[in-house]
Amino acid sequence: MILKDGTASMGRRIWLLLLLRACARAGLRPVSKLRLHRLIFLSNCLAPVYGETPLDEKVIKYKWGPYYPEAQWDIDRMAIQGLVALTDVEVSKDKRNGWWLHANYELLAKGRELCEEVIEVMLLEKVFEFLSELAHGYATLDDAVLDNVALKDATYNAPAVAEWAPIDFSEIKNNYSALTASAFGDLLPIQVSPNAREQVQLYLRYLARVAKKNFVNN
Amino acid sequence: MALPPHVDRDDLMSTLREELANLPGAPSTEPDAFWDVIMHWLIQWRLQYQAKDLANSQPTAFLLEPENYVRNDKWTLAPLFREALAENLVDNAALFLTSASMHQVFRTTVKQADVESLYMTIMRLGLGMQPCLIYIPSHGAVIWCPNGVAGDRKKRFTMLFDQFETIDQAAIDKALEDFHKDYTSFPDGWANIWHNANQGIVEKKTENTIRNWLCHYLKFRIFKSSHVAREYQLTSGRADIWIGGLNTTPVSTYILELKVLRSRHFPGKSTKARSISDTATLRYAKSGVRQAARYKASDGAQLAYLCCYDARDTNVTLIDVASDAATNGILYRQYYCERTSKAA
Repeated sequence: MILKDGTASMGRRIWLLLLLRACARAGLRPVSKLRLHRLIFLSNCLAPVYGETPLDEKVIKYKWGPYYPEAQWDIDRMAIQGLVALTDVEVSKDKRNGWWLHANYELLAKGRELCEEVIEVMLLEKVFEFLSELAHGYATLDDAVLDNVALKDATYNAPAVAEWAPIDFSEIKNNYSALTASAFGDLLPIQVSPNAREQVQLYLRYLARVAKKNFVNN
Repeated sequence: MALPPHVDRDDLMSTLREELANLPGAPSTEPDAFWDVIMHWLIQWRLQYQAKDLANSQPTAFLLEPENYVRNDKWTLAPLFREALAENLVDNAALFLTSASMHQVFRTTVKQADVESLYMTIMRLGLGMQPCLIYIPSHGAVIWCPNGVAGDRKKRFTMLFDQFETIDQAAIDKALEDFHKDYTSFPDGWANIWHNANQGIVEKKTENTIRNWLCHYLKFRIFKSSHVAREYQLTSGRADIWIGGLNTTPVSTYILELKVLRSRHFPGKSTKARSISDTATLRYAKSGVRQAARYKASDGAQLAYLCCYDARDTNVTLIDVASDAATNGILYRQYYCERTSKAA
């Protein structure tokens, strides 16, 4: 893939392909643009739980939730390349913010083959394992809260961060998501710690609990 | 690191108490994770409809959908299937196709209503190699096919719905006795431990087999009241099975260390059986006592068991081991595995 900004975009595309594959395995196929960006954000926040470096350690606090323009560019390019299927395209217009594209994405056979290759050649089994657990944990949540759980994320809801402001969670002390996930270990009997998989699954279920609570209260 | 100040500790604690027992016991990419999710759902369904008469109900199958599977128009999406717990689940014979998360469930009805016909239909659909769980409501049984209905491993067992309200020695002892009766006491037991029962040789990885089945069994027997994990990492090593009774205050934990006693085995890759001496057996079993004692001490466990599944030629209690265990505060249990189904 010859890309405008080379390595960063290549890394991003690989991460996105693996995430889409993880979504397919978890039954999230196709996955909506909105949910895909939520998952990209959650994967960025929770990657440290698995000891992995995320794609992006910052996000703008958009009113509509996490959104990654560069990732969207890469997804759409991969759709043109025949790696990803783009379906159910709709456009809508927001009076204030202009046009917005809605679509669903799903990995195609060519994309799946590429995933197999990169996992093997680039030793990305651990990354794929993490993304698989994330997608699986997300998919097990009630459908009613799936669109909103990422909005309840501890990092996204860090205090005193206004809309449109950047959130930088590159330092672990500012990654409230990873800190909360690891906090479950402090609540269990001493000498017993939930493993990385359990931390991610518990954190997602915690977000679902908060999302439902807020839903009821509203 | 301290909990972020805007995160509610009570919400975390509630999540832990309610969800830890529901977490899949295996990574999501393994067939066991599919088993966990489907069984969890089936038990919820059965508990909801305990009064429903299932005597004439149809068997139904849950299949793990291949990630690149192209569904034809015979598959229809069952909206909110996981959440709805529809009462008419088993009113007609059906196949359900889903992922390990049950996020979307697709349904197709089948004409025939017996298990063999379900197998044939599944294979005709090209899904014969997909992990499959068949529920037979009229018998309260499930058949688990981790390698698919076309595969060589199929396990059938009875679903259990009585939950222990209290996790204590009596409850664990009862669960272990019941497990042995159905899984390991006879060659046709569901754990299928024998390589050659006539020659008295169990499979090489019988400890793993028993551990994995016992973990499944305890998880669903003590379902929702505690967390059951296999190969649980403690500071002093890996406990075969760890049970956390999170509904008690203070939290109580239980350790199970498992050993299989043999009269002979195949060492390494050899295909020639070699005898195991009584001395070696004793040494092996006593090592289990030391392991259990170590785990109990480091974990602060309320109880620790050494469970020996005895596949030797004769049924003789290891009195020395029992005594050693008692001295170390370990509960010793020995379960004899018969060689024939006709044994008394």
